Order: sequence, then structure tokens, then C-alpha cells
Amino acid sequence: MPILLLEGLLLLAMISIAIAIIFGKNLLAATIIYCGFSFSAMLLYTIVGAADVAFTEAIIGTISTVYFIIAIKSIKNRGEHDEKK
Amino acid sequence: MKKSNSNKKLAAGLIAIIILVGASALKIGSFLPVIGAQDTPANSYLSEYYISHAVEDTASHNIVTAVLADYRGFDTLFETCVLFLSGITAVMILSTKKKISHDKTIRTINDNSEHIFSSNIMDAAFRIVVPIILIYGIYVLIHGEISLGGGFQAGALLACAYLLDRIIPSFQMRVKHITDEIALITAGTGALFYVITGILPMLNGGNFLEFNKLPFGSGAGDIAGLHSTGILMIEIGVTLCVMGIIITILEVVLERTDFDD
Repeated sequence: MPILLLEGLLLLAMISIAIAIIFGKNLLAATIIYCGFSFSAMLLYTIVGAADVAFTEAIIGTISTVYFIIAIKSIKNRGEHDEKK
Repeated sequence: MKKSNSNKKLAAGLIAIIILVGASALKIGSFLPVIGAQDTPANSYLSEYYISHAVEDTASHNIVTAVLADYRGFDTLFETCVLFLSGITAVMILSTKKKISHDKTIRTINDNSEHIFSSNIMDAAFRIVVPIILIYGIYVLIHGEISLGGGFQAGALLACAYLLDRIIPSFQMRVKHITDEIALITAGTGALFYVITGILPMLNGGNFLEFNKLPFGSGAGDIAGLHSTGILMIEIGVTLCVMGIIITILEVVLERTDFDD
């Protein structure tokens, strides 16, 4: 029963993180919170017993966060470029 | 006016294709077995066979690796090919004709004082972390058939080390700068290595990817050694492919965003 409670808490955390990402205004904060989404998913996979999938999720979550940050930086560069014109 | 007309025709055609494909997918989907049904091969005998025979058939203590790399090696081959295709697509769509000077391998903190990740704490932390990630990636690759992990995770870890090293400015780059062409060639070499591993048993009279007939080791009786060699070889192929594709996409995106400037 405690495992079920933990799963429910993790699912609730994932849903609330998803809602926070959609309605958040700060892009960098949304990206960092998305890392938390990935972490909750990883914990869920571990509870279910899929250790391989959890491992993959952990690494890909890290890499995708870095990609998102690069994308945010490129958006900022574009904005500055347009202002100079 | 003429252009908007042809655009409308194109849109109508696309919508028709989408509806057609969707309808046929729904029609085909009704022939698929119900998830969790008792009478499908996966639920009736196949998973039981895999669980009870994996160790003696493949000598791999991780059933996930045994299924992915040995029983279902043909599926994994085409997964690797799909990854390679995604890398080629990224290069085709994103690569620019702009001439980029590649002599920026040595960077100084003074040059990048305005850089987003420029800080002494990041530099000191990742100077320690990057070599450890590299060693852990190699460990995951070699231990893939015994513990969890395998080719995909190892490739992602190695690429992760390169990625951290690439985006965090330091006195000197610790890993050599890889251009997107070299990364794509690496990925293609990985996929080719996988195929060659599959063809090797055919020279010895076996089937494609039949590791029992690999021309190594101490003959046909050495099931454990031959299967370990085969699984390790195809995992090296997958690792090279995944690492190359992640680095390719990173470099192509960075070229467009003028990250080094």
C-alpha cells in the first residue's frame, strides 16, 4: 500500500509539473522544472521495476535539458539581433 | 493570388492524405491483438520462454539485453538505422552554408565573460565530472550484458560528457572538438559495424546475426563466449551510432545559433 501511495504522489507531481510548464512565463524556469518531470518519471519506472528504462530516462532527461537551454539561448540571441537592426 | 490558390490545393491534398492514412491505420489497428489478451504469443508462451531460457541460450544475465541484442537483434538493427536517419535529417534541415572557422578549440574565460555558462564554479565542477562520465560510459557499454544499460545508454553518456564539455567554457577544451561531419561519419560507421557483425556468421555457414556461428573463440561449443562477443560487438555499433547522432544534432544546432560568438 505505501508503494501505491508513492506512485500516486509521483503521478500527481508529474501532472502539476506539466501544468506549471504550460502556464509558466519564465522559459529557463520551465526547462529546469521539466528536469523534475523527467526525474519523477525515472522514479516511477524504478518502482515498476524497469531499471533499464529508468536509466535511459535519467540520461536522456539530462541531455534534453541541455538542448532546451541551448534553444533558449539562441532565442535570446535572435531577439538582440533584431533589436540592433 | 495564384500562389495562394496552389497553396490551398496543396493543403487540401495533405488533409486528404492524412484522413486516408488515419482511416487505414484505424482499420489495420482493429486486426492487432488486444493489449493484455491471454491468447497472444507474447502472453501465452514467448515471455515465459525468454525468462526461463535467456541465460542458457545467450549467456547474458540481463534479460533486457538478451532480448534486445540477441533474440530481437534484427529489430535493434533497424532502430539504429532510424537513429542514423534522424541525424541525416537534422543535418539536411539545419545545416548552413556559412563558412565556420574551426580554430576556436582553445577558448579562454576572458573571451567568454559574457557567456551564459561562464563561471568558475561550473568550470571546477565539470573538470571533475566529465572524465568520470566518460569512464562510466565505457563501463556501461562493456557491462551491458551483465548489469543494466547497454549500447544506447553508453552512447548517450559519452555524448553527454562531450555536450557538457562543449557548452561550458573553460581555459582549454578537454575533449577534442568534433565537427558535425566527423560525428555523422562516426554514426554511420557504428551502423555499418552492426551490419558487419550480422554478416560475419553468414561467412561461417550461419544465419544473419546468429552468434553461435561467429568465427571467433574456441569453436561452436563455446556459447557463452560467442554470444558475449556478438552482443558486445553490436553494442559497440549502437554506442557509436547514438553518440555520433547526439553530437551531430548538437553541433548543427550550435552552428546556427552562433554559440561560440
